[in-house]
Amino acid sequence: MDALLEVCDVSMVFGDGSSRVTAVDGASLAVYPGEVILILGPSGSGKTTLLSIMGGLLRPTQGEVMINGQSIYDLPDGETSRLRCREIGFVFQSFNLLNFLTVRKNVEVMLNLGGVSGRQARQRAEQLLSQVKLDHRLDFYPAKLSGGERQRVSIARALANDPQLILADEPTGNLDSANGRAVVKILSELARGRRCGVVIVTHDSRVLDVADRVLYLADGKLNLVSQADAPEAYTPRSEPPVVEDTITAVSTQMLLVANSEPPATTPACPR
Amino acid sequence: MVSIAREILLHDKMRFLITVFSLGFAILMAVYDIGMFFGVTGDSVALVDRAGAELWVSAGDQAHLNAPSFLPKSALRRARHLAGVEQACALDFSVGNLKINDTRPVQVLGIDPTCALFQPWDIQAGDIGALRRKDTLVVDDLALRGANLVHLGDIVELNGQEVRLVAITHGNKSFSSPQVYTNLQTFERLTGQTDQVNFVAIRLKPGADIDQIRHTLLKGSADLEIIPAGAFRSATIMGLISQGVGMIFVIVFVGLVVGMLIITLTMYTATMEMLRDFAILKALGATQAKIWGIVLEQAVTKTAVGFAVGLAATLGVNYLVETVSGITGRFPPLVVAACFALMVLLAIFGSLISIRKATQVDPAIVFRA
Repeated sequence: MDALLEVCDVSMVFGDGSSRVTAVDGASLAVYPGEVILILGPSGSGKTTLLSIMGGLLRPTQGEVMINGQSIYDLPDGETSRLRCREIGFVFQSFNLLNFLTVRKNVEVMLNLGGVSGRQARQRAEQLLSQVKLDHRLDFYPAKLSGGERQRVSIARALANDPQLILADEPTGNLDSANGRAVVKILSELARGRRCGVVIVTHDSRVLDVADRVLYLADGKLNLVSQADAPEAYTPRSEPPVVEDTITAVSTQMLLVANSEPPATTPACPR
Repeated sequence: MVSIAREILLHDKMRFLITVFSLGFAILMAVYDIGMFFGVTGDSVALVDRAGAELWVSAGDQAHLNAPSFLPKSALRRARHLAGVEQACALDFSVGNLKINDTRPVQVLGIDPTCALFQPWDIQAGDIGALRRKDTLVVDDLALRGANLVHLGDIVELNGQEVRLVAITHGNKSFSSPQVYTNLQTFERLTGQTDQVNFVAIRLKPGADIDQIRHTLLKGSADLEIIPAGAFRSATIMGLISQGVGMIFVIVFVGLVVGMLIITLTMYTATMEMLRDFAILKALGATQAKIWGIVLEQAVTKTAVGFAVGLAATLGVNYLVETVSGITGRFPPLVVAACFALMVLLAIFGSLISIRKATQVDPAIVFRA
């Protein structure tokens, strides 16, 4: 099976001299259709930087990112934008909805960016919002929604152009337990049902249940912690509280059992 | 298609209204004053335009209609007898006071009623031919505004002397006052100006050599100035500008600059407040061109609505001023369209800083809470 996303030996260095910081150091990763990948790591470990690089938003200082075999940073700016629009769906911790647009229009705009307009876009937006059970909030502005509802709008928007890849940054970070579980369920169903590749950066251990692979990023280095086909690597707690310290502790525990061998799903990066 | 620009503008309706009304005020300043300029200059050169003469004769260094000079009547006679001249007509100018119920300032024109070059236009009532009779007067209706029971045949006072009203016109006015017409003889009696005229306008026969005629007229009359109609018209307008009408352009300039500043400031403020939204759009896949489009559409929409508000206000103010004072602005569609185009250009120019901010925002900031 071909990888949807390949991250090949990517490094990201900020600053120089004494202020030089290596946020990501030689990370490699391949994401396949139908797969949920979880990236854990303490605050400041470079998770968001890595996600930005994967999403075509931040050019790495070294390495390559490919979507469907196409190196995204070799594309002209406009093409990168189009690729982001059609191939990647973003889900953010802070939702990042456009507050001046209604729920329906937030999704419709995404479709417009992808080249769908008019009645078709409207119907598709309504259909997506119905799937995330927000058909009664179509004409609401985001400010009038709860956190869980906003995140569901964000997911509907991410799915608008049928992307193959979903990149989620702390998708449960601003949600209570019930809403967090609902969002995790939606994301895992996306991977299984639509055969999307889903990459989730999180502190939330609830997401561990749905992950096919768990990676840990520390000091810019990405390590495989567990794989679905190697469940002995990690046994998640049934209901861990959503507290960063706890998650860090879980992550540390996972690191202790991490496979020190290079992960089997590391892509064959072109040199 | 969702118009992001329109959604941004209408999301905060109060801000949008304040912006377009402020812009409308700036546009009122600019467009009304441009209209006044065209109105004032149009009124001032109406006699030149309607005369259809090729040459205008004045004395010495006097070179425009609002600075009457004194020519000997012999100049008129000489002009009439030149080969190639179809018609030469005298025009006398004076200010006067017309007393009906009260005293009203008017511009008194002395003309030869048999001469085609200077005829009152837009006759509302009466007979221009009656102006050939002694002590008769044609009055513009602007001079009669508010006067009670004035009828044709009534005796009115002009400069303290009685004249009979024989016709009423409409729209015959200088930039400052309505015009009344008398024949040259009556004019002399009213003003005491004898053996002199202020201007002579000459219409040539087809094929006549204009330079030859100028040369012949100038021969032996070095103090005459013979000016082609186009130059005379321009000199009249320039004379007005130098007499203070030029100040209008300062107000026009200020209006346009204020309009541009309003656009620049509101666009900049709105863009800075929405930088994160632009970052979100970029992260979601909006191209740079799309971002340009969003900012420009906002600027152009604000300008278009502000212009419509300003234009409506301009026409309203013009109506009020015309009703009260008789001073009319003129708004040629082409000039209004040019004002709009200029305002749009200024708005685009004023949006460049905002566009730069919006296009350069780092989309990766969307990952920051």
